[in-house]
Amino acid sequence: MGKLKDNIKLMNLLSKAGLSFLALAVSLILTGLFILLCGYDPIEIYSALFAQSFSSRSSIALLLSESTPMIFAGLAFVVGIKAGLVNVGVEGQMLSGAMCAALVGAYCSWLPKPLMLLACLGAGLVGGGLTFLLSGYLKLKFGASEVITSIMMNSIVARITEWMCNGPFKPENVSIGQTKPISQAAYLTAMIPKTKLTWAFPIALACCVIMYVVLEKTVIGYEIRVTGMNRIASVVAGIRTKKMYYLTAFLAGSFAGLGGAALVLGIYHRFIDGMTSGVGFVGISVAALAAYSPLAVPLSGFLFGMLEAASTTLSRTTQAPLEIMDIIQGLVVVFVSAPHIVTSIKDWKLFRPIKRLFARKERGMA
Amino acid sequence: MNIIEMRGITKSFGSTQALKQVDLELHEGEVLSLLGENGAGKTTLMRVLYGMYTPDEGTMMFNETPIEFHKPIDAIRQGICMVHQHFMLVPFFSVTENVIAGEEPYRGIFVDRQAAKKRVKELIDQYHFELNPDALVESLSVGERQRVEILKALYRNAKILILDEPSAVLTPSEVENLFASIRILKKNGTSIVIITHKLYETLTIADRIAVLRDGEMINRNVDPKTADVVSLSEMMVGRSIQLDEKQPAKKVGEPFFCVDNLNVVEDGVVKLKDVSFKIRRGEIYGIAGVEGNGQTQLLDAVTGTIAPDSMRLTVGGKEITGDAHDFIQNKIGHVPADRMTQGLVLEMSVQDNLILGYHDFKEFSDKGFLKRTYIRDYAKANVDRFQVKTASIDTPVGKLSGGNQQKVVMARVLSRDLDVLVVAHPTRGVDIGASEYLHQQILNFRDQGKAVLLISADLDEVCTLSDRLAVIYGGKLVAECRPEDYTKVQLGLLMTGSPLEAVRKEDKHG
Repeated sequence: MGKLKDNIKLMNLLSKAGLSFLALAVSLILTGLFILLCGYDPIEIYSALFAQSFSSRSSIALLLSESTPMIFAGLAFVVGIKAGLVNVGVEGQMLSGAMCAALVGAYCSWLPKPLMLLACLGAGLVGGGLTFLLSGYLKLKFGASEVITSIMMNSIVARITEWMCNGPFKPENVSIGQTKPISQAAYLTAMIPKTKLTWAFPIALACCVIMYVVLEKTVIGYEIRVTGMNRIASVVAGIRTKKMYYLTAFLAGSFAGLGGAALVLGIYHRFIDGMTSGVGFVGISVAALAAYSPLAVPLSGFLFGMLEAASTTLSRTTQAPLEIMDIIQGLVVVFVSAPHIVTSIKDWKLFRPIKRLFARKERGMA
Repeated sequence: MNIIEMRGITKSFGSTQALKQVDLELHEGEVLSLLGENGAGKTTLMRVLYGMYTPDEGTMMFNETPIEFHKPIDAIRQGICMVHQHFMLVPFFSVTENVIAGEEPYRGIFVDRQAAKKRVKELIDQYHFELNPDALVESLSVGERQRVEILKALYRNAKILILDEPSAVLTPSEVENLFASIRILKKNGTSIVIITHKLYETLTIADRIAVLRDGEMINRNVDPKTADVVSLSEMMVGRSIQLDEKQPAKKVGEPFFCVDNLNVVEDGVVKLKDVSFKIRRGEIYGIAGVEGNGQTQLLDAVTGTIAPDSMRLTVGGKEITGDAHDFIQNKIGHVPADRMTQGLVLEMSVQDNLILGYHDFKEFSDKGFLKRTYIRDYAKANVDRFQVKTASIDTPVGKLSGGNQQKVVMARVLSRDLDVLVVAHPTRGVDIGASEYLHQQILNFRDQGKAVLLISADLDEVCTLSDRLAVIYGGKLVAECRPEDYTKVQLGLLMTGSPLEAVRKEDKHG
C-alpha cells in the first residue's frame, strides 16, 4: 500500500515534468528547423547559447539576475491560478510595485537604514497586491472577469506611472522619464560583487518555497485550492470564498509587486518609464512551463532567464536575430498549454514498433 | 444471429484490471441487460465496444467479420450508438437541432432545416416519442431529454443501442415510458444493451441477462423468466445479501430539527413557499418529489449554503443562522444532491476530499497547518470502513466510479459527530451491496436519537427509509404522512400536482 501511494504521487509529478520537458524539447527542435530555414546553423546557435550562459561567473550571475523578475512574475501567475484567478496583469502589478518602492526609496530617506529596505519592499508588495486586488473586487462586486480587468490594468498602470515619472516626480536635467534616485540605504546589494545578481534572487526563491508550504500544508492553502478547483463545493463546505478570492488576489499581485520592487532596489535604483519591458507577460509562460507548481517556478524561471540573458549577448557573437528567443518562448507556451499536441506524439505510427517493444517488456516483467 | 461477438476482452487501467477475459455476444433484435455492481466493468466493456477504449487483449466480431474500433466514430459508422448517463445535449438548441448536430442535411451550403425537421418528426412518430421537434431542450423533462438522446442514435441509423444506466435519473412513470420506447425499438429490429444495476427493471425488460463481477463475466446467459431478484443479486455481489426491509424507528423523541416559514425566491421565481416541518429525535423525515420542485433550495437553505428570504431553523431549541460554515460547526451534516459539483473536488485526492468542510476542525489542523500524518491515517481508516474502492488515498477522487465517489461523500459526514444529517440521494449510482451498507449507516445514525432529513428521487428509497414523509410540489409541502398511508401510485399523483382530495377519492374508487 505504501509503495503504491508513493508511486501515484511520483507518477503525477513525473508525468507533469515529462510534459514540460517534452514541450521544451519539441519547441527547441521546431525553432532549430526555423533557424535552419533562415539560413543559420541551429547547432552553433544553441551551443553558443548554452556555452555563453555558463561560461563565466559573471554570465551565470547574469543568468540568475535575469531570471529573478521572471520567477516573481511566474509565481504571481501561479498563485492566482490556484484560486482560479487568471492573472494577466502581472506586468501592471510589477510597475505599481516598482513605482511604490521607488517613491518610498526616494522620499522617505529619514527612515533608519534597515527599516528603509523593508519599507521599500513592503511598499512594492502592497502596490502590486492592491493592483490585483482591485481586479478581484471588480470580479466579486460586478462580475467583471479578472482576465479583462487585469489586462486593462496593465495599460492603466503603465500610463499612470508614465505620467508620474515624466511629470511630478521627474528630476531636473534628465531626458528619459524617471524618478529621483533612491537613497543608498534602500539598495538590494549584489550577492557577487560587480555583478547584477542581488539579494532579490534568494528572496524570490524563498517566496516560491513559502507559497509551496502555504498552499500544500496549511488550512488557508487548502481553502484557496478548493475555491479554485470547485467554487460550488467550497461554498457547500463552508469556505468563505470571497475572503479566499481577495486574499489570493492580494498575494498574487504582491509577488509581482515584489518583483518590480526588486528591479528598482537592485538594478535601476529608480523608476524608469516602461522598465519592466514585458517581463510580466513572460511570467505566464514561466508558470505554464512550471505546470503551475510553485516549486518548479524557479527552474522554469532560470530557463526563461537564460533565453533573456542570451538574447542580449548572443547577437554579439553570432549572426542570429534576437527574435529566435521569442520564438522559443512562444512555442513552449503553445505546447505546454496544448498538451495533446505533444502527448499524441507517442501515438504516431513512427513510434509503434518502439511502443510494441516496450509493451512486450512490461508483460514479460509482470 | 450474433450481431456482436466479443472474445477474451481484457483491459487494465494502471494496476487495476477492469476486465478479465470477458466474452459477450449480442443477438440481433434482443434486449440484453448487462448487470453488475459499480466498478464491475460494465461501462468499460461497453466503451470498448463503442471504440472509446482499445482493449489490451481480445477480439471483436461485427456481423461475423472481425473488426477494430479506434474511436467512437468508427462504431457509430457501423450503427453502434451509446446513450451516456450524463446527457450530451445543447440546452438552448431545439430538439431537431440537437438531433441533427454533426450530421446535418445540406441544401447547397445551408443546413436544410425543413428536411431535418421532417426527418426528425418522422422518427418521433415512428417510435411514439411524443416530442415537439421545435421545443428547446432546456424546457424538457429528464425523461424527454433521454428520448432526444435516443433519437440522436436513431437518426444515425443505430442498429445497436447501448444505454448506460438509463433509469438512474427517471421517476417511476418515466421509467415506464422508457420501457415502452425500448419495446418499440426492439420491434423495429434494434438490438439494445442496457447497463444497469437495478434488478427489478432488468427482470421486466430484458430478454437475456449477463452478469459481470469485478471485471469477470459470471454468467452471460441468464434467462429472466427463470431468474429472481435474490439469485441475481447473489451473482452480482458474490454473497447472499439482505434486500432492504422496513426498519421502523424504535424510539422517537421530542421535535428536534425544526424549520419554520422557509421562503426562497430566486430571480423573481418562488422556489419555496411557507415551508415548515419538524423532525423529531430518532426519526427519518423524507421529502418525496419530482426533481426541480424546490428540493435543491430546501437542501441549500437548511445547510446554510444559500441565504433564504425567510427561515427560522432551530436544532434542539437553539436557533441557527449564518453560512454553511456555521451550520457545519453546529453539527449539521450535509450530503449534497450533486456530488460532482457540490460534494467533491474531483481533481483533489481522496484524503483531501474526506476532510472537506471539516478541514479547519482542531482534529485536522493545528495553528493553521494541516495535520498531514493524522489525516492520512484518518483517510485510510475511513476508506477501509466504508469500503471505498480506490487505488490509494492519493488518487484524485474524480478517477473513482460514481458509487465510490458517493461513498467518499457519505463517509465524510457519517464519520463525524453530528446532531442532524441532511442527506440527498444517499445511494444514487451506488451498487446494492454498498447501498445496503449506507442505508444501515443512516438507520444506525437515526437510532442514536439523531434527526435525519432525507431527499431522494428514488421513491422506493424514500418509502423504505422514512418514518414520516412530505411530498413537495411547486415549492410547497402538499402532504405530510407516514409512508404506508398512501400507495406508490397515490404518492406519484401527489408528486405530479394532483390535489390531495382527488388522490384520496382515487383511493376509495381503487
